[in-house]
Amino acid sequence: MSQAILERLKERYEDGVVETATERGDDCAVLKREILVDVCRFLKDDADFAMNLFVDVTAVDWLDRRTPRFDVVFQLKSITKRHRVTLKVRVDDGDDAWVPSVTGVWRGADWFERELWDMFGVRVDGHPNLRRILMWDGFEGHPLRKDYPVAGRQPLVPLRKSEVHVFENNPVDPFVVGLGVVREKSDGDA
Amino acid sequence: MATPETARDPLDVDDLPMEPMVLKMGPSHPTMHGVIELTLRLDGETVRAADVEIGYLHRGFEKMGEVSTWNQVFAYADRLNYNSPMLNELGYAMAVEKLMGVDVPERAQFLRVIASEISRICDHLTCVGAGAMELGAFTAFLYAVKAREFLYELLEKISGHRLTVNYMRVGGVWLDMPDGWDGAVRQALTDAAGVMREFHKLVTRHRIFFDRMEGVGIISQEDALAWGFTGPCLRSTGIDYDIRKAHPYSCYDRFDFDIPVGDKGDNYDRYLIRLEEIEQSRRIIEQAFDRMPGGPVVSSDPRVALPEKGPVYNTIESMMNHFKLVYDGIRVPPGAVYSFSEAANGELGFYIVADGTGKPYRVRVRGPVFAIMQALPQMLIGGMIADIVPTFDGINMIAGELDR
Amino acid sequence: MIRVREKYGDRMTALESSYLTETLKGLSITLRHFLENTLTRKNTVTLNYPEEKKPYPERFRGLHRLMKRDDGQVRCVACMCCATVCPAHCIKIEAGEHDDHRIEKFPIEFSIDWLRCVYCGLCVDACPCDAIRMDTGEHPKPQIDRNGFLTTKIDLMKLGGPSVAVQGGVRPDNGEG
Repeated sequence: MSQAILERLKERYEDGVVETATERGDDCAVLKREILVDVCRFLKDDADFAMNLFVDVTAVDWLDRRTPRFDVVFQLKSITKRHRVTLKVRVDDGDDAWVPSVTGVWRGADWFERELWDMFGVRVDGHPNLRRILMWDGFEGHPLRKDYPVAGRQPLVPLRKSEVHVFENNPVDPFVVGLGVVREKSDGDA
Repeated sequence: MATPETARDPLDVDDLPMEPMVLKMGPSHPTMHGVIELTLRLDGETVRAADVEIGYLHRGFEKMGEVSTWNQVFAYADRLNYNSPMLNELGYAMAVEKLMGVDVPERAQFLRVIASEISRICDHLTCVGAGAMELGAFTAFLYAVKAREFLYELLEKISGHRLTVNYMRVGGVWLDMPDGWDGAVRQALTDAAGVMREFHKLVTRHRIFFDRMEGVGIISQEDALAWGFTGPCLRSTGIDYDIRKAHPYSCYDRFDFDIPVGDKGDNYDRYLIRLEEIEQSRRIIEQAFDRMPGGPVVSSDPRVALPEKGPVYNTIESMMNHFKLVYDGIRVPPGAVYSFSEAANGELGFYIVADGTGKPYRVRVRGPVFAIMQALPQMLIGGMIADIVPTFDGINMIAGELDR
Repeated sequence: MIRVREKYGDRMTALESSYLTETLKGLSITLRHFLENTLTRKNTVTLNYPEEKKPYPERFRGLHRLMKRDDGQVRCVACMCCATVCPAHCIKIEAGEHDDHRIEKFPIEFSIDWLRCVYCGLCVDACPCDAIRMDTGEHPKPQIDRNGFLTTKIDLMKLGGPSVAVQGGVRPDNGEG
């Protein structure tokens, strides 16, 4: 069944599909970045494919091994049809390191795309709230890149003072969040 | 026209000056069994907006995986969802086996299924027990923990440890089950079922418990799918999707079991589903013991299995094989696969990339809770502060697999 | 497929929503446990630790021990297998030349940091000469400071006994050397 997806994608998008492969039962289509969102929407809405579950997005960093540097890998699945497919987009380092956001197709891609940005520094264009998710604000670099050292250390986070919290899902008016007694930063704190 | 201050009716609540309050809940809060931070905007006691901040238990599993050998990752995988280590190990082992094309002996498959299902029961017991405790039913929590203790002892007997089991290997399991283990499992399951009957009597139909779970934390079928829900949380909305049935792996296709589904997608549904899944896991374990085949428990493939100790002590060929496997690690051919299994909270996926050396090039974990936690604000908004706790528990967030 | 609401009941019955029956049912359970546990300790699952201890099962992976040869020397040949395979990097071995040419190498120092150890047991699997085992059935004791957990070869050998594993190139076909 998933073979049919690859065939159909090749037929429909012609040049947009760079290559397709089936490896150990996983069907994978490598796409051009421009058509990614379109393909996702098609796979979700088409009655034959009905990819209604966004499973995962991650990246693989091929530093010094391949160009372009990153493979951004999407896993999609259909709960009704019981099949799945892998989509890949290849992006390079620097300014080229971006993919379009698919949060418009599946809301559930939200945190996964934030993690993609956080861990690999692959920007997600059109994401409603592209902030770090597992690392803290002020973290330098992207830890899952191959050139980030395994034993890399970063300075400790300064003590938090009162901050203005802007709510993601209701950002009408920011509120000052009091954290109780706020200790002044002393010399002992890093 | 402005009313003079003196003319205000002191009992007229609508007239009081009101402003929403912002409350930080967590990362270390008594009712948060897991470190996350919730920022809530409250209108009285009603939650109007909520934000989730995660990452407090990030240990860099994926980065560590890149500098470990394939077998060392098992020790880390144990600590993903620390309530059900066997399920994580099974997921990871299956991914590596899929990439290598290693066949796992029948008996190992059965032992894996039994160990996994015991782990699943432990996970569900923790969830329902902690859920009851957070609503004030401390006795019920202790009963659930008592039942869980019986099962942890089984895991300790077969693997050597209660939580950090490190029992599975690529190509099979560590050791065959000890003598008398099957009897001990059946006995423990019967004991645990007895304890759970009491638990059930204590809370399930009790009105306080019912009222606080029923209709709270509702999520619709469409929303659940859109957010990427899997596992009990998806099934609570009425979708009978269980990877053990939809894409049978290991030897799950040989067992007869049912998938419990809910109707409303609320906390009570999620609670009942977990209760019922405990029963179904018990059925699977009993069938597995009835049909347990003989034979080896680890693949004889010399690429993955350490040779037996006797030949290692005495023959140079086995000794060399042993040293290659220990020093270089298992050599996985270059490639990438995505392998997924039904963990206690939903789809646990491993996307692994190998470059032909003894270490993974990339190990990606798709924790089920990660997708579900995104929807937490949606489930909380409009409810009361007090409803946060049961909803949060119904998701059964495990920080280990959320932050990895 | 099981609809859980059909199986366990959807709505509260009038009796159930009166609190009374369910509360009494619950109280009867806890009261039974209370009486059982005060009058007899037959069904009690808790132990009076540390006076009573539950033995660990046979496979329990506890503190390591270093096994000895027949003459009391350490069996370890400093092959570094255990140190390599350890996911926590808690084993440090300093190898030295042995006077006996049949043994060749032995560990001058062999230390394990029990605070770093994750008790996964991979070192035992990796040992090609039955030198390290984790079957002492003991867990690490509390210490005053971190250095107390850094265990040396001497301490590890105190826990060990002679190993009876037959080794030394016995040919598998006729059993002669």
